[in-house]
Amino acid sequence: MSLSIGRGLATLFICLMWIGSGSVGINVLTSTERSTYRHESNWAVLVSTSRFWLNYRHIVNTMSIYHVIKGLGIPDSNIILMIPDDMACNARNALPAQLFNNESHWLDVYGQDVEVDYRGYEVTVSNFLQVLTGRHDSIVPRSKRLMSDASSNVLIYLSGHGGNEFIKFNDVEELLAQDLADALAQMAEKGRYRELLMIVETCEAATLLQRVSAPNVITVASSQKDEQSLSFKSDPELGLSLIDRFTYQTLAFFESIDIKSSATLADLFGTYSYEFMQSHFSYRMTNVTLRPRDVKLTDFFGSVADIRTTSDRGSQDTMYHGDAQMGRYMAAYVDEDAPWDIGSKLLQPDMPNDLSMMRKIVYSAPSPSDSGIRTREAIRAWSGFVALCSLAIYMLTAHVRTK
Amino acid sequence: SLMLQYIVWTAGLMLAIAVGCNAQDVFSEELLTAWVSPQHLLVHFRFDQGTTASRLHTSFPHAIQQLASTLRLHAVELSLTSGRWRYTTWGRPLVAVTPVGAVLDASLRAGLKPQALIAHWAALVNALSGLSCASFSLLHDPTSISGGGISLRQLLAPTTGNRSAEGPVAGGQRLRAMLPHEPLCTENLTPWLRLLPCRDQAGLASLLRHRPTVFGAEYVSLGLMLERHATPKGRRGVRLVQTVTLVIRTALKRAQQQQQAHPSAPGADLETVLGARVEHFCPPAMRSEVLVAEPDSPEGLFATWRTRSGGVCCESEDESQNGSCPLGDYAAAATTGTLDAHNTPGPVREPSRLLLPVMIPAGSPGFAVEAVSQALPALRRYDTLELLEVGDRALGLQLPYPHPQPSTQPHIAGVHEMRANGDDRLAGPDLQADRYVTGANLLHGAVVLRIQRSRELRARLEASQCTGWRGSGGAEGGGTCGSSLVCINQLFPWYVRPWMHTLTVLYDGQEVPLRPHLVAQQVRPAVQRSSPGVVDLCLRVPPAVAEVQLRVAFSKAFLTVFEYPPDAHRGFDVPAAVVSYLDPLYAPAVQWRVTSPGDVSGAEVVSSPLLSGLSAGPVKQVYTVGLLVPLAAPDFSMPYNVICLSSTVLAVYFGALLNLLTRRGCAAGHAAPERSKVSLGGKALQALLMLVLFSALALYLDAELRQHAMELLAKLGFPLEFKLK
Repeated sequence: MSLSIGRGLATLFICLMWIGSGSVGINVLTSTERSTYRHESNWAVLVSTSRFWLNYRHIVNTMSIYHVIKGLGIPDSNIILMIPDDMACNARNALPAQLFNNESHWLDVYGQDVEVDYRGYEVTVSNFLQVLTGRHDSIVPRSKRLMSDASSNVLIYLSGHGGNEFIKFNDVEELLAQDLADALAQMAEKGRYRELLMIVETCEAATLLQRVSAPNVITVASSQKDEQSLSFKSDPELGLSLIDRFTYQTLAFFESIDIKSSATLADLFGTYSYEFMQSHFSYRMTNVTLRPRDVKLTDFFGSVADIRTTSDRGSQDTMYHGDAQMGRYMAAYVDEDAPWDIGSKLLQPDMPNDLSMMRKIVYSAPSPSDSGIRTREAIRAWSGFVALCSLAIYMLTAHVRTK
Repeated sequence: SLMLQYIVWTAGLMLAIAVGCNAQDVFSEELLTAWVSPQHLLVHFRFDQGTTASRLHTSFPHAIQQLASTLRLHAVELSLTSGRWRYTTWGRPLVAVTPVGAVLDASLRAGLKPQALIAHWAALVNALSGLSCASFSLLHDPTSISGGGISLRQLLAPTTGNRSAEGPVAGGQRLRAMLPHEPLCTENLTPWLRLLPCRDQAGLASLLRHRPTVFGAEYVSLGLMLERHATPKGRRGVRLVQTVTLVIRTALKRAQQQQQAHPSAPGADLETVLGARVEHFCPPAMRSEVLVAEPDSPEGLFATWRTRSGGVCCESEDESQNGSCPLGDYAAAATTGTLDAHNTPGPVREPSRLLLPVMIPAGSPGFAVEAVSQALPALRRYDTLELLEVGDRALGLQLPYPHPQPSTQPHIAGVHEMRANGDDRLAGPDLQADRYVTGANLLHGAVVLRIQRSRELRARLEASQCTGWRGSGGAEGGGTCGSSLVCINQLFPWYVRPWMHTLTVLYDGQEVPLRPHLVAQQVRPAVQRSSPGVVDLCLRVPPAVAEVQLRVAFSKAFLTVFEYPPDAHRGFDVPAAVVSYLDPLYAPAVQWRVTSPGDVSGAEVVSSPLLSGLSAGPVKQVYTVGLLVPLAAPDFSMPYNVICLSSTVLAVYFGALLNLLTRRGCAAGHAAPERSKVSLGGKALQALLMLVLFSALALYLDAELRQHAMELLAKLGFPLEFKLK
């Protein structure tokens, strides 16, 4: 008798711990300062999660972002591309080896050279999480690994079909919000990024990102809960939609961006409009002191790194600093915070309708505010607790009755 | 001055290293084009690289060297193919044809323990998946790996005697894996081109620069062969052979009509067909040549050469003899470089040389040339560098016009004549194989493999009865004619289980007993979830038989839910079957000789990797197309799952509640009525607990229910104080 009660109590305790661990997600770890590491390299993980020809647009979304970041200087070796189906050489594609995001067909986003690292059935939730956390089998080739470190800025882009707190992979699996948040937390623990920008273009994208709590992460979602992320640009020749609205809007902004641009996230956010997208975008920064206008887009989308010589007395350094104009010229390429940059920023009005627009966009959305989540999480935890308690009492009474 | 001296020394050292490495890395590129039908052009690229250096390469890709030196392998062959070779319209392929999807063939060194073998395989597969962007990591899954079965070549080996030249390495372990559903696209070509010294920026590979043409071709095949070899001097080295085979559909018909109307109108240009230009020569290439197959039959050209070896062209412009005497012109063109455009529609300004495949009889010392090989076309050879010097940053290579008959091969032309005469029963290539599934059942089915032999092949078999290759013979029938053998290799994934006792063989529709006709067999049954089944059969088929059918019944396995691929309803791929047979037209010693105005026997002999590859061996292989077998697949759709789960939970709840409310105490005994009376309150408590349990469980599991509960609470006026924060 006493033994069985003891066992029951132990079970109860374990279950309580389990429920308690489920509510860890709401303890948002907030950091207040930017990473102390210098920005030295750029990495990108671009994922499309949809299979089948009818999802052409999701693969074009991803390939368009690939086109942008490759154009801005991130090499193929630093891009992990996951494409679950072959669209370019699909038998249904009337334009072989090409993908277009515009019915004018003037820009082939597939291009002459492309390296897909994971494709077909290899695009799975476990492979995606392995890429993020770096927990690979030892024989996995280097081209399939995200070999970033604490000085890397990492861009993650996801496009596919999703729902409340999940995104579907290859039509059979789901990546859940908690798993994603845990993977990012693990990345932070292992020092696999300096700053991380995660963009998700799915239906109810914000719900997928709402549990992310790792420091120095910026998340951008294309739609809110109960909202769809709609497609755009129907092509009569291919008989399909070519791209999604949020990504289209993003690409439209990047058309004017080159490697020397000083455009910030705030500039990008300023171009998103509900009238065009039919969904409310939202962003979240786990680093609370960071603002969108502090984050340059080329930090993530381009290969712009802060490179400084370690010694100020070396022969190279005298060459570098000998000519002030030369130094100035070169610094324009290598330094992100050149003084004249700040000056030019001061000259410009700081985002004319920045705040008002932000307020309109972000606050009109049914945003998943912390308190709402907290209430729901509390209910969840307590209901689990009550369930277990009632189960325990039930078992106890049944036990007593049989005695 | 010290600095200067230092620089000079360094430069000298660098130069010495560079020269030294140059001697160790070799690169050659070749291109073959031939019309396979009036609309279809075959373009075959072959890039050969070799090195004897273990480090410091000038052109050889380091990744390949690394792979070859770390793994204990003899040879690795990888092919990625989309589309299929259409035997009926394109005839017999000039170059090796591969089945659709990805095929990986590796022969590893003998003596590896099973564990080491698996580790080697895994490392190889992963390295290749990184090097080719194909999803080879799926081949980890051992269901697609099979050991090499028996091959016709091995069966014949004891009598042919040239085992060392052709046969697989003795004692090695061959592993073979197929991914029949692997796509082929730009992402595979990109890393493949990276292995070439000039990528696609210079040399013949720049003809692949227009990707839509390359991947819009009806048949695209990318091949990579890695081999360890030893030079004649005994130095060990690594050889890398890369091939691309394209069959491009061109809209040449109109141009051809134009040509008939105006004979001097320019014809098809190779670079126009491919949509890309060769602008630069690739400097590391020691050989860079373009070979264009002549549409005329080599026999006619050969006869002309023999009779007119004095170098005199036919002066008379006889219309009826138009096709029979262009050789004199060619020979003249080869010597003078000028030719009247009216006589030959082929290229005129470029210096080119015509190569004929001549057969050297076995006993002769190499002088007595009797005939040309019927299986090979005559080739016109151009040097890329010379073409580039003439053309303005382009090859400017004009292709000859294809014959109205849709093939370069004379026997195919014969078939088409036959078809024109109304006998279309056997129209097509030498041997044709197709395969299909019968039965619409989700549990059972049968697969039929049908092999058809052409009338020409049978006639030649009858003529060469027991004079050609002699097989080693099976258990019975010592005097088996090698040429009448047909070998079949079929790989079955483990979830398709053939029943070998149901195997029936039909010759021309008549069922024949299997045993007397079986020369060799090797059947390895599949192991559930670990290795595929392999069926290897070699049958003796009498020359008179036109059609062979093999039928075998199979049952389908049930898969667990996680074993289904995302597109399970598409069906499951069964890899292509391989049918191999001996080519009676094969000549063991074919030499390519330059037709020059002189004696046939004294003509220059030309050899290159591509040319020797054309007459590779007596064994011809025909691949069937892929096969899809539908397996029983559950309904994976999400609503179905949700409904299933929620109904199960509800059923458990109601079942438990009903059980609780209706059950009477313990199993039996007199005390039962009393106890039930006593425990009425207890029962109510239990029911209440059950209700609380399940509603709490529902709240715990369902986020939306929580949301609703929250809204309900808020409406009821409960202060949710942290919401106001």
